[in-house]
Amino acid sequence: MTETQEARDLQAPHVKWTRYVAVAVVLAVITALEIVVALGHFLPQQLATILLIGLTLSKAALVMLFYMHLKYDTRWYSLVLVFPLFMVAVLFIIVLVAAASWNIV
Amino acid sequence: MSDWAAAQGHAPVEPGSLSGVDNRKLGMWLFIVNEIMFFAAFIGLFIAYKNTPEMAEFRQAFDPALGIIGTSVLLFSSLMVVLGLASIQRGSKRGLLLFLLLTILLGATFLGIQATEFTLLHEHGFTLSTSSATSAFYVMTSFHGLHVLIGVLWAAGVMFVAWRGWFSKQKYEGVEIFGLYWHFVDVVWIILFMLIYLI
Repeated sequence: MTETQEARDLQAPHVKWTRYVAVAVVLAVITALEIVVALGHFLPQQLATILLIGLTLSKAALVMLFYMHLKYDTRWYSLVLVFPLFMVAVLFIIVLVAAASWNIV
Repeated sequence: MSDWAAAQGHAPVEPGSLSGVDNRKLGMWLFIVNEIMFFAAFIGLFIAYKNTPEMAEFRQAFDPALGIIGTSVLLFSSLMVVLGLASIQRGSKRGLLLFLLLTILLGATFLGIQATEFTLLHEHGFTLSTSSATSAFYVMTSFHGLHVLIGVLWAAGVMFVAWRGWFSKQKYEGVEIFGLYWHFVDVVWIILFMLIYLI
């Protein structure tokens, strides 16, 4: 690969604006769903919590994949995220276990 | 660096660089990784106090409407940033300026909503020092608000250099790197919204 070609490849991907708008519509729909689930109180508490966490993580993933271009960019950027996300998961597990042992969860 | 890359103002393709990796963009991602660890500490603290009696009492003072409006504003601002990027990729400087202006206005609106919420909570008697739960809430949301403020100032800077003709159809890395920061701040709020208002 020539340097010129490589420099061109470094540019942000050209994503159609219609795709950006479509992602925004999906984000709005998921947000509306979250509000209905949270404020509707028609699901058991634990099920609602799991559903809300799932909906939130899917929103975060959509923003990172399409708006932050992880779907289109080289995988190196995604790999950079793996370690901190693993560490965050470990941290939250420790916090939950510790909080449970202090009887505050 | 090739003549073409130099002419377009691209990052140098340094010896040993990973294929397809822009070092400036990688630097932004590494900064984001650092920020993830910061926010994880605050979020972990908030989760630890989530089911305490103090937090239950505090949460009664929350107005979910403010959270919902703030979330919608921030999500919409992220759309404005990517539409600005798409505009300059098509060579439209006016489009970039318009969408950056809307981003700034939406970011400022979010900060206004946050200020309103803090004022209402103070009127209910919940301050930073009321309890550990209120401290966890104020520190976490203020830290996020500070990031939004920095983002608004950064957007103003990007808008200024865009107005001076810095960006073009071939040269827009500055817009994309700002966008990475702004979307990250949005992702953090998506998680905070769920933790504060929904569960």
